[in-house]
Amino acid sequence: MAMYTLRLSRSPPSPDSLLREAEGAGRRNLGGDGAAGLLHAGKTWAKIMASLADSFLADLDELSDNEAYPEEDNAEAGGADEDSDDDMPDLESLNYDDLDSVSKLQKTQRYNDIMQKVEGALEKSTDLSNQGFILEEDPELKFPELESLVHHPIDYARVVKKIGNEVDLTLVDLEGLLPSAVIMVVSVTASTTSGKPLSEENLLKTIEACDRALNLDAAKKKVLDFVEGRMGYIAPNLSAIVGSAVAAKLMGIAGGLGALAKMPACNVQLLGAKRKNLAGFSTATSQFRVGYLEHTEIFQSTPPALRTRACRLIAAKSTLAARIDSIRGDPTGKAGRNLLEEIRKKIEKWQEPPPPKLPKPLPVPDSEPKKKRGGRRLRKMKERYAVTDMMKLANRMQFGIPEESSLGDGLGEGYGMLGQAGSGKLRVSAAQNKLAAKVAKKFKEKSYGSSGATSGLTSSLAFTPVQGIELSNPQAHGNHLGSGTQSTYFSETGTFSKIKRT
Amino acid sequence: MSYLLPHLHSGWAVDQAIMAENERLVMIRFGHDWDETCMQMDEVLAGVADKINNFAVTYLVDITEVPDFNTLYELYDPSTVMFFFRNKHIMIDLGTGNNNKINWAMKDKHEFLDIVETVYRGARKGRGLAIAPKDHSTKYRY
Repeated sequence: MAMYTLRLSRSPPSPDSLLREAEGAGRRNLGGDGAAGLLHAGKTWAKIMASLADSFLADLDELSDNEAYPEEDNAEAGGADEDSDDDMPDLESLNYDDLDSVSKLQKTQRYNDIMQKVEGALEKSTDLSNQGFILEEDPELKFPELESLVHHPIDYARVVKKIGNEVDLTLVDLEGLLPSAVIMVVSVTASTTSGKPLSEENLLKTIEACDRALNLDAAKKKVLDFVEGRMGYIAPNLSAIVGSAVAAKLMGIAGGLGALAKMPACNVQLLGAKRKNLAGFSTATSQFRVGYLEHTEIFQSTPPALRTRACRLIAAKSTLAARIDSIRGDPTGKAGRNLLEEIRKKIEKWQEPPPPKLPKPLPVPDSEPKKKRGGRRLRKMKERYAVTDMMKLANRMQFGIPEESSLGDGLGEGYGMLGQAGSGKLRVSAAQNKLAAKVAKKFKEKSYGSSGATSGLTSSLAFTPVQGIELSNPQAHGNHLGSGTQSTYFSETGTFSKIKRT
Repeated sequence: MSYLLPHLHSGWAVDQAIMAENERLVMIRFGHDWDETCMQMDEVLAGVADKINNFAVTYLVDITEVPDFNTLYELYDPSTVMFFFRNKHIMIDLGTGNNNKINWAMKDKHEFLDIVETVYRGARKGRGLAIAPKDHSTKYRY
């Protein structure tokens, strides 16, 4: 036996014995295959829903007359104060009647109490009517996949009702209930579903449950319409910015003005945002994260490029307005209108073209001296192109003495003073820079102080220009003084002789 | 274009204009506003005048209105541009053979700007002759 079971997702705020019993019954009997138990659970659920829905609808019908009962309300309000755990629908009807008289009783003490009760009612109606009626899967269902395809509970209920006990989904017309892409997916899935048809009784129960869900949904819509009409009294500033319809929706989904005021603005922006697309459809066209605020007039009138910024701005200002309203700071709604003006001005400013560029005259030449850099890097760079001692000598000549040249006889490059007898220098060596000397010293220390772990490619043979091949002792320290013939005054690698190496 | 630049209407005015500037180069175009060559030159001058405002100033002189300088500077061409800095005439080596003046219509604004800047640098250093960055001689064209 398979049947659909409607179950409330959240437990209702007031501990209702009936509800508890039904839950318990449902739980007890789900494990087993007791069809009777399931039926019983279903019956109690149906009963509860019937009672709630009917009373709700009846009260709303009363409201549509829109008459004020001041004396009755006062008495009943007093009575309502005591029994907070009363039947919810009665409380709500009371409060709505009170609202009618609010305009006459504005200066009374009870104004605050009444408004609190209104918000309470809104919260409760939210709980009641916004409860996600998630259809739980029983082990044997007719169409188990449908739950994952159609997320929205009201749509689900409608689809279930339409399908009924049909096996062939091509005979069922789902046009208008769902978007056509989803219809396609549903029909394809239905052709391969693993479920079996329901029995007559179960079918009737299911249809009844669906009807109740739809009725509740309709009731919720009526409540929201009513609240929308009353927005000017409840939240004047908020409705000045976003409009009464959107304000009502925001309050409805937030669970009252207080809850809305407590939310940060980023959450307000996302209230009512549609969930992700089902069945893996493309998200390329999905809007950036906006909720009900998308339907405000000011949002619709901004160009699409600025919509993200505008949505953030509107959310922020409307949160401010909601906070003002929650403490009743400005009953005239002037603050809301000012905020709206601010929003409009800001959006206009964003759309301004940038200021035109002023043509600047050129600066006076040589008025700003060039920033010369210094430092080691520049010095090394300059060294590469510097005139060396060898070049200097080659550029000069002695008086009266013909210079030697590379090709002899005055041909080729002249050597100038380089290598001449009277020049006072025995040999011109390529000048070693200070830095190169330091680097060479470090290198020597590194390679000889590596305690035997040198690479196999190092050699202690050195080729010198004067003595030819020369063997250097790899164990010798860098600052070894050596023989007395070697000058230590101007040694590039030598250090102080008296300082001991540590 | 020539209406965008100031005119000098007497020899005295020309003298005063040259002597007045202490920090800036003075450029004077001698010619006629209705002449075709002068119009082209004026176009370039007007386009550059705003940019070089910090270091140069431009004046236009009609040589029929002010004939005082015609023999002195040998103003026989339709359009002549001359440079003065601190009451001294600055020469430019353009490769044409005539270092005293620019006596044709330059078409390129950037080129002209370069010449003005070079003249200014040289004049600031005290040089009487500035060497133009580009050679304008026609010896390779024929």
